Amino acid sequence: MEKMIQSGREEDFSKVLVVATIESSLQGLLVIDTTEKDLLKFADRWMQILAIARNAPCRKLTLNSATTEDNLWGYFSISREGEGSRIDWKPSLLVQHGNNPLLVVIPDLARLSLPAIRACVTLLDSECATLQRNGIDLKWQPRFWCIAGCQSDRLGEVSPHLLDRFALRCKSPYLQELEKLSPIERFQRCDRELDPNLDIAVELSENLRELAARSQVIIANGVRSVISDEAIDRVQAYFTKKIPLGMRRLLTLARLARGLASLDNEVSVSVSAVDRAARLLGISQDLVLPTQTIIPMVEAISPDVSKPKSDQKIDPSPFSSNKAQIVEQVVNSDDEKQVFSSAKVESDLEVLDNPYLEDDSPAMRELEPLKLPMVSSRSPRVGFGHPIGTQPATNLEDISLFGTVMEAAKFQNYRNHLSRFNQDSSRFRIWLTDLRSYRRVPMPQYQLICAIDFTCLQDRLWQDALLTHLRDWAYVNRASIAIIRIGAKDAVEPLRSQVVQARNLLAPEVFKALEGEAGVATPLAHGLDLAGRTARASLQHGRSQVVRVRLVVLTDGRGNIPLQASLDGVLDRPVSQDEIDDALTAARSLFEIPRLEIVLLDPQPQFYAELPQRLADELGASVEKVEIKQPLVEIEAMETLEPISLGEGL
Amino acid sequence: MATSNQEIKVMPYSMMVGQEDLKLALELAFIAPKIGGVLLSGDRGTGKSTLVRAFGVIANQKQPITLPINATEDRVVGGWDMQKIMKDSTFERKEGLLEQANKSILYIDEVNLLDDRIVNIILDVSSTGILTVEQEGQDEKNKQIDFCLVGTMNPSEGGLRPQLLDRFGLMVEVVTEQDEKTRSQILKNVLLYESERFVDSKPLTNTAREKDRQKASELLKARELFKSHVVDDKLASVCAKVAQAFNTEGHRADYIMALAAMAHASLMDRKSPTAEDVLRVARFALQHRQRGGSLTWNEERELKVKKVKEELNLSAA
Repeated sequence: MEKMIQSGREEDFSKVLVVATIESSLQGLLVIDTTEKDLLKFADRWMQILAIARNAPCRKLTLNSATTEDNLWGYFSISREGEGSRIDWKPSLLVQHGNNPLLVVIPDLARLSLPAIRACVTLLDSECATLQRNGIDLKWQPRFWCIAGCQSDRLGEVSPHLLDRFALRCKSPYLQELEKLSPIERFQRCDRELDPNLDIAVELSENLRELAARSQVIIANGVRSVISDEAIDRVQAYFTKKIPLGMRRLLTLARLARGLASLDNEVSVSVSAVDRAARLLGISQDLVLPTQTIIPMVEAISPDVSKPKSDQKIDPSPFSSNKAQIVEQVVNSDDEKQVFSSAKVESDLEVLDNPYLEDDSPAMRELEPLKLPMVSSRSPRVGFGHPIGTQPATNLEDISLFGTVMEAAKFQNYRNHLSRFNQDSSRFRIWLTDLRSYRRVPMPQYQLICAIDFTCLQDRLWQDALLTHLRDWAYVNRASIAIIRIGAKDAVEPLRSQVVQARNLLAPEVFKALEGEAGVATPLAHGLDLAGRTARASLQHGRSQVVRVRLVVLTDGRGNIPLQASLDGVLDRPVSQDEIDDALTAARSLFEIPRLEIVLLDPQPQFYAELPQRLADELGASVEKVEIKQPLVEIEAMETLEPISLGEGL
Repeated sequence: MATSNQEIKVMPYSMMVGQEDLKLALELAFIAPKIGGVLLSGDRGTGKSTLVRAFGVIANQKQPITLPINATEDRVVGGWDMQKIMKDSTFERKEGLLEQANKSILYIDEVNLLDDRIVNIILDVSSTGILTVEQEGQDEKNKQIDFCLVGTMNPSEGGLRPQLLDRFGLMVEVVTEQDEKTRSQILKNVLLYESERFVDSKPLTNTAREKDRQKASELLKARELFKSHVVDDKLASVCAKVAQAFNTEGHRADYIMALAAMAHASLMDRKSPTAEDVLRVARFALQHRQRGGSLTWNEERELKVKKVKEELNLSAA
């Protein structure tokens, strides 16, 4: 039975791929919660479908975090010609793929490079594309398809503008299978998937081949099912509760319905085709459906099945999770209106999932995610991240040799022609105007290190105290973040502190690291030692561009694990005053680090209240008090008081 | 396959349903080129880009010259033809997009994502009307350039610098159509157009293209009529009164409002503009020129316009 559900889910998913192949306006498919290997499998399947339907081999272009403008649009390349060589413009696949269909594969949408994001926003669902770069002037109609993967908990990191371009949404058909695995089994599976020899190519099933062949006929004839007024009303009805921004979601549903109807050789798009399309997408926000009559989607999508089976409860859509086991029945035209209208009045009904998860995802991205992040700097060490291209040089710093040679190469014929009467006319000539320097990704120049002692936070408004530093300093300066977790209950090794690093405040790991309960030990000395190491690594080591670090220490100063015990991982003596002294010694070493600003957040402990100040003195830190929560009991007591009549007092 | 001059068919302008303000602003900018351009800011998926492209076809018989957000400077102001240098060793200048857009529309999709360097170039040329290129061995001096700048943007991805905002004569805030009937018609038209794209018989598209031709001739007629209009004292006073009510910066708002009002009167086939014309277009000219940089148009601002209208009625009485 489970296998049947699994294969049904896969069949639905494949059907979406076939319809997207027919309906060229359905270009973008976002697969949520999939592994990279699975995504490549889906891409391979789609390429096979595209090849059959479009009657030409499908080409593939992968975009990732390293994709540059040159990868996207094309570049000048040198090729051998007789004895010499020549330079040519080589367009990318995105610009020129002949009559072959093209599938763009994005394994992780949350980690896509900025040029690739901007390209997707510009090209997906657009009838016209233009390229105006480096002397090249092209205009064309973008005809490609795109499949991207993204984890649902990372959707908040992606620009809504980019997500909107992915009209089709599906959850991985293998998701439930993956969810059932234990962590070790999952790890083993991921490990297996990393094997480069593992073949992802799977032959299309007979059924899918037939669908692809049918789509080939539809594309060749150019005839599509005609959308009826009833079908349009039905599309609208799916979005009555919350009218979405723009028309894309409605158009997607209508186009998917038209594709399904065309595949079934229906002359016009019926209401049930819209319902089938909605189920494939997982859109049922407004159309609330009864749970009593349920049939599997596998059967529901076949035209000859119309009798509901009441004793089955099967996951209907590739989008719904295993928690929501609800399926709409297949209804004949007479029943449709009844089910549809009754949906809004019945109370014991359930709804399916929402495929547009970004509507409710918290925004975890830059304020303007489609622009290069702002860099505020008072330092000359600006912008030395990895190269993302070249630009005309304005001085002799950071010259790109290859970029310069490539620029000069374009003009060699002409320069040789000018100097043909000279003896050394075959020399390679570089002129001043050829000089190119690197364009580099801006790197964080600030770092915020938060050392948090989880054993002193009870009844303290510590989040408010920390927020000032996170928001007003780290976010404003686009600082990288390091959280030192001291004495957290979920620490793998209780005797040690743990450091969590993130590229900026918006990374989800920052908030996970800030959540924690008090553990059994307080390895404060180790925490301060780790903070010192992190600050030194950022300020003094390698190619780091950090010019200023702020360390915020939140502790009551009562460390109870000696530094050596933390380093050895063994505690062989009872707690004594030495542990506090160890922490003070570690603090003293931090004082000596240049360009390190330290703030101590004093939780105002009831006992040893002077310890935070002592620690601050050793650190050379300024002190900020953390407010103490007012006990709720007092508020309750206030509420139980009898109301006072103003007249009595007067 | 990409080619340099591929003509791409877009949905006919007459098939576009709704977004009446957007259409009106584009038509006004065509009738009165001195308006300078239109900024369309709003929700994604509202057909902003499609509408601009379709309008370009009826206004100039071709799609507007499009400046993509990753364009390099040599393609904006013009540079050497690289293909000719590499193949034939000959230096030949290739016109930039600003020159190509002369006397027509320069369209920038996602204008708020444009690099600052390119924005500065466009600002220079659009404010002076003169293009001068003296770089990489080029010497193009004082070339007269006059284009209608049309930009679309999604404000959630960032704003525009005030200088660039001011270069757009009019601004329209594009919102998703809320009326169910309009939305149904949009769905129907888009799907019908798509269905006809791949077949020989195109009755609906052909009818719409015929309507487009009629619309184009109406616009040309309005453009001719516009030339006969003058800003009289009455019109100037109404424009000044509205601008004063909004406490706008500078005098460009008054001037653009007068031009737009005259264009509106021409579009309505009226000999002279009235206060009604001014009030109809006031929002387009004022929205992006409010003190404090706000781009939104709320109830309070609408009430201000109504108040001016009442005052004008009273004084007329």
